[in-house]
Amino acid sequence: MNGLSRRRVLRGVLNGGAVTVGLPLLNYYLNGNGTAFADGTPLPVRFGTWSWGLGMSPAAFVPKKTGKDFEFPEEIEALAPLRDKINLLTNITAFRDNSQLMCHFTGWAISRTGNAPNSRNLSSETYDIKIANQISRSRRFKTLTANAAADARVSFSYEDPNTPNPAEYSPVLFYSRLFGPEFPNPNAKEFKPSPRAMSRKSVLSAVMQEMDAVNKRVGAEDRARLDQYFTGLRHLEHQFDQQLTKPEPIAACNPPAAPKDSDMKLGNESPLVIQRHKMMTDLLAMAVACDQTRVINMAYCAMLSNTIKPGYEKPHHTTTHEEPIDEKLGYQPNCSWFTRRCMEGFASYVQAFANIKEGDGTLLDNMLIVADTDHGVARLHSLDGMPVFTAGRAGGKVKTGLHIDMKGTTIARVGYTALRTMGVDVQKFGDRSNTTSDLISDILV
Amino acid sequence: MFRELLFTRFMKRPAVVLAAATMLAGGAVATFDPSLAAEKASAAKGSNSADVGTPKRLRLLTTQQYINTIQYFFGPDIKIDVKFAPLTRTDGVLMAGTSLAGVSDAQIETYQKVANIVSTQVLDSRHRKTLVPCVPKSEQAADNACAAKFLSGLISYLYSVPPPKDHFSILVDEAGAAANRLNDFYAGLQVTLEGVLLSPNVLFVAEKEEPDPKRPGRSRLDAFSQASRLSLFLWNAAPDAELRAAANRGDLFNEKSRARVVDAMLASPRLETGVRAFFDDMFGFDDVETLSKDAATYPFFLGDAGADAREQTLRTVVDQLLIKNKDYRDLYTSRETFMSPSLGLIYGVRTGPGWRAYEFPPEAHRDGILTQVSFLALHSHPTRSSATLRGKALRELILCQKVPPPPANVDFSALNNPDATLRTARARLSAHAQNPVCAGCHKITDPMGLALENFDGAGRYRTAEKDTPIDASGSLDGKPFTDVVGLGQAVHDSPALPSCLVRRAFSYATAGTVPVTAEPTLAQLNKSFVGEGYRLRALLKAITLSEGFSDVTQPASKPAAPEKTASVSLPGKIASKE
Amino acid sequence: MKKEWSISHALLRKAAIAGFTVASLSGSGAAISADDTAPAGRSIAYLFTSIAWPVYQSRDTAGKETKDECPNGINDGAREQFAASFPQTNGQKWKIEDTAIAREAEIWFPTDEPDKFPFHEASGKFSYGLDLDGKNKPTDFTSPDGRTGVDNQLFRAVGCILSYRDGSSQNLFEKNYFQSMLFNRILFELTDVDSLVNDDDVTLTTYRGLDPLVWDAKGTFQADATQRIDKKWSQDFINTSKAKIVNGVLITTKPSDFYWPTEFVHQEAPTDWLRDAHFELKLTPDTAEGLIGGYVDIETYYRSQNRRYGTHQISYGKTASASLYKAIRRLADAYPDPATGKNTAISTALDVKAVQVRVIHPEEKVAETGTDTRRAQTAEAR
Repeated sequence: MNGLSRRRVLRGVLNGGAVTVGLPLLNYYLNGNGTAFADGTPLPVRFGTWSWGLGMSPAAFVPKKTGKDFEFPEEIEALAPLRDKINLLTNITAFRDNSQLMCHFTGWAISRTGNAPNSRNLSSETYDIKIANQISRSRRFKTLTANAAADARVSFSYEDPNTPNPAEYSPVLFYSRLFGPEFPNPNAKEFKPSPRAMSRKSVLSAVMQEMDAVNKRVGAEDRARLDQYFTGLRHLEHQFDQQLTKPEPIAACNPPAAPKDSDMKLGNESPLVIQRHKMMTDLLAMAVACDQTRVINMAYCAMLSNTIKPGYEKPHHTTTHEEPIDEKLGYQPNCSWFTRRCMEGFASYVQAFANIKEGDGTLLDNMLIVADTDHGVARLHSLDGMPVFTAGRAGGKVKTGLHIDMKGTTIARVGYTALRTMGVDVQKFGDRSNTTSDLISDILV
Repeated sequence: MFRELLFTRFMKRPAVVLAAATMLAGGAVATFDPSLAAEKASAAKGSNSADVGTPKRLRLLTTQQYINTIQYFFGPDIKIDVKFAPLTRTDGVLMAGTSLAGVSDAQIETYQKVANIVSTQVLDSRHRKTLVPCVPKSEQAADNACAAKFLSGLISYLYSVPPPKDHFSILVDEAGAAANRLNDFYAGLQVTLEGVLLSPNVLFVAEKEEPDPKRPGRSRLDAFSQASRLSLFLWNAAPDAELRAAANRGDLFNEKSRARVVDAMLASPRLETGVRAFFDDMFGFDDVETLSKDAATYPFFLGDAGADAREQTLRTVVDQLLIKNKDYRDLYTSRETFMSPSLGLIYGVRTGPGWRAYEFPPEAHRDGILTQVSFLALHSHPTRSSATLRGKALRELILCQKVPPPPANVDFSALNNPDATLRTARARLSAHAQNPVCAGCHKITDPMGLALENFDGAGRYRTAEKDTPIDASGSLDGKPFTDVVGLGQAVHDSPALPSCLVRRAFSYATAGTVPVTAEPTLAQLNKSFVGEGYRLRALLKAITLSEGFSDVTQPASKPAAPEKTASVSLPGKIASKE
Repeated sequence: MKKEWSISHALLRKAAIAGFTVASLSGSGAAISADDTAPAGRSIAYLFTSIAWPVYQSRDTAGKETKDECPNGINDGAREQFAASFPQTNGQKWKIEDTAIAREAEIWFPTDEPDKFPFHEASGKFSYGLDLDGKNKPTDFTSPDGRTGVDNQLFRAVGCILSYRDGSSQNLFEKNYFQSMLFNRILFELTDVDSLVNDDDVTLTTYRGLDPLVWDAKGTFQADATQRIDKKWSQDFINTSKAKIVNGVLITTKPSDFYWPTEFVHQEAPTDWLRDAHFELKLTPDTAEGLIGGYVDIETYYRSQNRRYGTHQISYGKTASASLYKAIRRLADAYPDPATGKNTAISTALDVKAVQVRVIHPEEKVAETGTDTRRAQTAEAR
């Protein structure tokens, strides 16, 4: 089809008002195996993060065995039933080089940007945004960020060095943002295409007309290069078309009923945090199932966690400093109590995605989730011996069920591996001593 | 002997392959010799219709060219943090890869992303006041007159060729339609700018030829293509309005006015951007981005040392060649440079914060840029120095000579698990070089590389390796020396040094490998470079005014045969671990 | 970094190569005793990377704490004292000015009147420190390495407070902020050095520096970095004393006071003050490590340790500041106030680490040429 006539068709359609059918492009029927769309396009892979504060107690957290059949020490016991869905990476370092140690900040900042910051601003956007720019720009929400800490500032996703994505923490407000009147329910009969996507497509189609003139200027070999470029533009056009096309129904998309008018009470008592975490997690999982976004961020608590244990006088962070190490146990028992609640939270987060069917597997199978924290041992403000979890198989690209000793290498390897797994074509990640081009190949298929 | 043989041959053959194994066997040298073809080509010279040009190219803007172009037009506060796909280095020049690179789907998405980021900033409430040259009648609706004003300015700058008038009006219509659809004039401009930034006329430069009236039968680049070549070469960005206007007036076709335009470009502060980009390319500094040193071996090689080392050498180049207008060859003997705190740690120099001018004393053994960390550390292993890598880099990057790749099945055990009696690199390499298969290449690289053994893998000075004093003597093409100062002098005096710069600069300027047809141009440029006392500014001017720069050669009926090295013809079996 | 000092063959060669040879010195008649370990220009400077208050903690052979020095246990902190003073049982109501504000006032305006709460002083035979007065008094300690007559009365006051013991948050904070706050750069320069091994007369001057610490990815401090010396705003920190070097150990012969900056979280930039500072540091070309003994000025110390932190942080390590003040006043052993006769300073010692650094004095033109290839050798690992 030549450019001009395509364009006229499109302009006509757009000017005609409500669009009921876009150009027939992708066939949204799954193939026989349920692992890809009928035209061979694989199911989309989504990315998520999850974070908790204040590290862990090595004596109760780090398994002695590495590889496949590792044990689950008491602090991570809650994750034992999910053994085949997760990986645990331990003994990771966040190198801060000459930058000062900003407690409860430097560690996660290195994890998420690969760069030790020198101030309370980051050096760049966090890597979930790099991934979102790659895989989720066409979605209704490029990313969704939430927490169970009842504080919008608890966010580890930054759009640029100075701009955190504020976190959703109210289940009622989050519900209305996701599933309120604006929700383009893929299972609904009506569809209204985005005017911005229409304009983008229309301008692109005008620009594509310039190809003819350029083509005339070049020789045969260079024409092949231009063809490749033109194919790329067509691909981009397809992406815009997807946004203009009524989405196919998604069986797994079943938004819950609206929560009651009165919102959850604020506060950081552990039972409240647990309840809030569950509600926010369920909403996030359904947002992903309904393909409203392909990148999500969830935080269980602030890095300087102020979760409260009923009947105990000190909140989580204060406990890490003040509680003596129980010499028999070899760790701070109350501090460990808080970490165990976090791990139960992570287990429920992973389970929420594993509960949603997709194709012949679950939503989790087509996700990569990375869970990280601010310190190795919070009491010592250490930036070594840090743990990270991954969950999900990223559409078959990631192996699970492993405990890997990272041997003190940089935490930027996690970000780099995530970026590459999610198709972001970077040659390296991180800065100074955190610079890496080293994939965690043990977990890659 | 073959040292002399090598030397004289090398003089005659600018791109000769150092076919070492063949030379050792006393056999004939190269399998491909462009100078022979060049002679043939120049035989036709004098008729004023000789083919002295390069092919017209389809060039893809590099990341830095894209950023420079955008920021020159919209202002440096438009933030662009992007890295396009890496280019393929071809005959020593990364820029040549821009005439070969394709664009993948993923790359298109990157372009779209950065287009969105740029256009959003340009039209945000802060920037629109200055960057949109008019105020719309209503901010909620289309205003085609105002949109046309904005778009005509940016399209005449961003497009490598002016678009046809009807196409321009289509874009204005698009902006209007989008403004009405989105109920926002600026949103309409933003979406349009986003699309325009994906245009083939923005991302590519498709050079165009036209008959050359002064040289009947020959073709030249048209005025806009020449303007692009000039600007991408000297400023590493698209041409500005003045240069386009000059191209429009035909100034580039008149010898006198062309020289005036080039002089103005050379006088512009933007020349520094261009010169930095060129030397960054020639010195292979793209590899600095992935340079890492083992922290246990070289704890003093701090995280920012690599970036500082690159900056040090580029500052040295700009200072010596542009500001002080010195002889290019003096770069390899001069002790004048610049110092930063993290480099001070490596060089053992007291220095305050920031960059400051610094001159090494003679006893520091830091004579010339080969003794700078950028060269020493980049061409070493993470845990040890490498005479071979340094020698190879010197041959290939600085002297434009080819070192054949190592043959298959080499026993590297002497290097990797050294015998305790082999305490120095020299001892290990000489053991290695007793293997005749290895000897050929190592005789090319090691005698020069070993002169740099006084510097460890991070570039710090040392006099001993494992308590055994280092012997830094060596030779370059038959000239013996006893230390690194002698090496610098030998490189300085090597005729290959200036001719390599000429070759690289010409290849970079024309964004491709140097075709046989351009060899006479190079010969002329070499001559004028010598005549001008090896001054870079003079060379840049000579290149941009040369016929080879603007003359268009017709593509050969078939691609040139790949260059061969003698080592590929060696029987594989010899290369076993004997 | 941790290499022992010895005049090895390699070092001799290193020195010879580096150009600060015996010949050049003796040739100019600079000093008869100059040897091959003399630093270039007869001066060398070391930048402090850590200044800590060492508290002796008894351990069994397995390395486990036995707390012999605290037979009565660890002291209560501000929280515990508060809870004991104002019981919340029986529905009793308290006014804030009688409780929290009154307690804060005690911290901000401490007195040496007797303490209402029990206070456990550290005791026992051992403490870190130096013999400052050359006397062997009953209150003196023996250092773990066998030195007798050790003067460290501050140890009795802080030895059984969690904050001052190993691994406490206060120790971590103090170390972290000492290193990360730019204001806290303090260094000493040795001049008239003819030998780094044995020299009976060297001059020691402390200065404040202007540049950040330099450490590598693994957190090791790097020798050879440059520090600019501040003489404009930092006169207080410039103090000169005389010392000697005996078998590679720097020992003060004529002490002066030692002032050092201890900025903490941008809240305040206090100066700590040790009177009669006795340096006893093991020197290598790269590092200086050891103790600085002296008498710490009580008011300065209290301000620095107990006021620059909030009660919040102090509570991390169970410090009851008002009680600590009373204890220090009780135990003070030097510099009596001429008016009241009460001692104003208390003996103690600092555990310090420093790394060699090149210095630029403000009156010097920053070198635009010249190099000191002191570090002529580096080993490449295989």
